[in-house]
Amino acid sequence: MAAKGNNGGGARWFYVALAGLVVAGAAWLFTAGGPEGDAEAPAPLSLAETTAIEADPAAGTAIGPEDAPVVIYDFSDYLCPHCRDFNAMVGKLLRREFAGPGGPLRWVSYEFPLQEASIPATLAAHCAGEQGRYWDMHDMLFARVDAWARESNPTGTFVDLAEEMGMDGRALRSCIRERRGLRQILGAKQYGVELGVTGTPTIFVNGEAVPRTNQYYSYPGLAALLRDAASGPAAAEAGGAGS
Amino acid sequence: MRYRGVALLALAGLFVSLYLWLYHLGFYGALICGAGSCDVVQTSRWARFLGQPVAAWGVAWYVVVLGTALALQAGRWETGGRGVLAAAAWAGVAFSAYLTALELFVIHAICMWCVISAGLATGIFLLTAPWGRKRRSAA
Repeated sequence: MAAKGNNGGGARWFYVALAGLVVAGAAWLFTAGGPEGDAEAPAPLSLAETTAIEADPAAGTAIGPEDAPVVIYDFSDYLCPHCRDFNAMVGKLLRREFAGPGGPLRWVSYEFPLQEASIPATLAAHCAGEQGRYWDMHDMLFARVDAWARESNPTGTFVDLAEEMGMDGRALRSCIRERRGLRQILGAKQYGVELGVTGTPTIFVNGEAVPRTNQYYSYPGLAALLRDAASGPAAAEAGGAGS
Repeated sequence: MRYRGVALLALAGLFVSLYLWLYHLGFYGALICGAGSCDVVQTSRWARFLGQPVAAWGVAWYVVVLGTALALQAGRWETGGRGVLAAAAWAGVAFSAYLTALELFVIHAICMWCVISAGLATGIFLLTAPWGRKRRSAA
């Protein structure tokens, strides 16, 4: 067997080459990689990926007691300016005030990306959720939309935002790249489509769709409903939500 | 001699696969990609196989090939090792062909590192192929 054994000079050059390759490869791994901004945009979603998914009522992310008398479904798009205002001036405040333990509110956020460009942000929110920080990222994506909205590949900015909030940026990047949660996100959108959602933001109060002109799209309107709900179960019927 | 060649090719391939795997794990912001569209390929749905990143399968495959080639080179595990190496070489070249076809006809983008890995897998296959062994034996 000609190839066998540690015989003389041939074996020596082999082990020298092997060691050289190990050193060169390790050095290369340590120095390789460029900034995120140099990366191309992720591969676009195919139509099949976005339409072949069934509606999933469980695909929302919820906060608040399961037996809360008022349940609000919120269908929003991170690139929608009205959604940003609604989140900053209504959703965020209500969740903070009423969705704590024993509170009268359960808020369920359903992603409703209106365009492909919104999907990376929904992935970022989902991936933050894997670290138990969905709501922090949800609020941050709306608040800092100007930082990422124009980027063809905003993953690096999402990682920066995550690290700014003390999250594991590397895990978030890996999760976004692998598109973990995409099925759930598209299932949430499909659920909205089934419920008749055509624009964002759209909310449902105790299962009833609320027209966008309704008082419940303001903090005072929903806060009054929640205060009533907190003071007595009868008030939790959310009467007139759909009017 | 050919086991040495196989080991060197496998070691080079191991670093290529490790690079792509570390990228999947989020260690790198962007891939160095002189030619082609590495990020498009690596973020496509085809970058996973049986629930794991293709790059992770690559790391495992190159580790098996490298370990087996080093054992054979050292004169150990002659009987089983040759069979393992031959099977691995066939599997590697077939899987590389499948991935290259996906890049060309499904993803419509080429990843330079995948092409390099496919070349290394082909080299390993040629070095372990029976006809190469016969020719060398005859010589």
